[in-house]
Amino acid sequence: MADPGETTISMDDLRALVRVAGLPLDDAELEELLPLYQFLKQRVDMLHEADLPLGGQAMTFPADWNR
Amino acid sequence: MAAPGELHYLTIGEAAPLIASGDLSPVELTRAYLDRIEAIDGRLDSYVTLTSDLALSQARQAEAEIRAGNYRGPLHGVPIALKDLYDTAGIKTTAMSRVTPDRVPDEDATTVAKLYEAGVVLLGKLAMHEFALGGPDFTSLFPPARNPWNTEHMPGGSSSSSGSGAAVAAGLCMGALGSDTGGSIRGPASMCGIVGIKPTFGRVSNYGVVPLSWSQDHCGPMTWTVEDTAIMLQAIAGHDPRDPTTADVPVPDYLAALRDGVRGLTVGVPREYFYEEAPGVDVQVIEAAERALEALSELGADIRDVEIPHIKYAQAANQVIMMSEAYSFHEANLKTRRHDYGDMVRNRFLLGGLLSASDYNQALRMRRVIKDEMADALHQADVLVTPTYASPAPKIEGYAGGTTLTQPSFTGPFNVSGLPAVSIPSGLSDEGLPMGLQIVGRPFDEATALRVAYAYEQAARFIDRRPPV
Repeated sequence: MADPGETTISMDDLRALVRVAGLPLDDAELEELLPLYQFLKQRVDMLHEADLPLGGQAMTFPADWNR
Repeated sequence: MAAPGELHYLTIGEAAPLIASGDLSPVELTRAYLDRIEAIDGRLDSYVTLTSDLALSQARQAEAEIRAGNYRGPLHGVPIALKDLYDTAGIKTTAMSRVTPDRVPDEDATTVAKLYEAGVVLLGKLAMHEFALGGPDFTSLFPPARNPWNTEHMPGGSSSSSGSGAAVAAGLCMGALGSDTGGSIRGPASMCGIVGIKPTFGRVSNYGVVPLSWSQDHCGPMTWTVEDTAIMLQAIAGHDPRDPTTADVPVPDYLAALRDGVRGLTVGVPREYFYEEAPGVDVQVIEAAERALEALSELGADIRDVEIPHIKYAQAANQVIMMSEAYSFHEANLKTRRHDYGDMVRNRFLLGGLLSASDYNQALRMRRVIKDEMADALHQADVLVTPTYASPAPKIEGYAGGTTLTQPSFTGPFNVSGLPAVSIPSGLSDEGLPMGLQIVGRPFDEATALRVAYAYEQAARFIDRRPPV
């Protein structure tokens, strides 16, 4: 899934992540998941590398909230 | 549009006045559909549950009401079907999964209740991708639906309202509801040569619809014509106290401005990303969209390039938000009975468990930027126009599960922003498979998107050609 030679995460890294998530996956399942995760990780890294304006999500009540 | 004896190819707009006047019996119409489903759906697998008895009972009731002078409107006595994630009281709603193979809801989804109120006849529940994610998967509860234009091909690619697309295109219902989290209404609409709209987020209630991604799920209709989509959207749109994400804003008359043409309107063209050659993009869909832009220009629209600077990040944001929210919903089952999920959707949901809070938050921050940039683009244009899907329908056999992750998505960006987007046919590929054009409107302005769609539909006349089933 990831471009050849562009391995972004190892099987051991994935195993550790899965353990933290509390998912009881066996080695065969991890093998199946690894290329998908490698691809997703590239997409996630892309989001983190983007230069975004500071500021959180809108949590302000609109002024007319009680109308 | 329908030849004599082909009741199943009547559009809603054609059938409604005949039903209202008593010249077309809802019972006769319903029987025609049930007969056709019996005859050809074995090749398409678009239905997972048939509700024949209910349909005939509803049709008889509609006929009696109309005879008594109580005509409810253009959906009265019209046979439709529902993607199998819409809750239907007393009728199995499986979401196509072995996790919920026998689930029978106690109440109807708000949209279903509204359609019943409008007088529809329910033919049954339609195939989909399991829990509305992934692609065709032979390990799901039912076999995947097939494309009526070529049954070796899928009806929706990675888009999950596959049965809805196939059934509408094949004349197995007059209209259907789909759902759309990354393109699952618009993808099958594109690949099956029909019309489908993802309304503005908050325009249509999601109450009683099995969720995939709470902040990106959209319910909407799929039909043969733009007029029919407008008719169905009219029936289901509006604020729902049971769904706090719905907006309490007026619903316009979607038919009122449908025929007003495009003269004086500005069509924005976001060339970056949507019109670029890239891996996974078939140049035929771009060429078809370019031809559509020329046609809209000839019809009097002003065509203008616009920019959405962060658009290349939209698909990543769509996927990270989708997988994170889907994992939240499925976490308990994934930890205790993951093998009840089909292979494709299980892996996709598991990925959601490996994303961090920081990943999710970064996707939400990106969403805010993209929404603002799309709003800026729509200050310069009344609608945006793009190809709907990156390719015509792929083959089912040999379809790689990862394709849904890697192929560029032209639809997902508008789930991120929540803008309304309609897909209409833009022609057939060299292989004779449909392609689609996406028209994106301003927030809560589905009416203008439908107006542009109608103008192009009437000029291009792709609606005159039906699939060879």
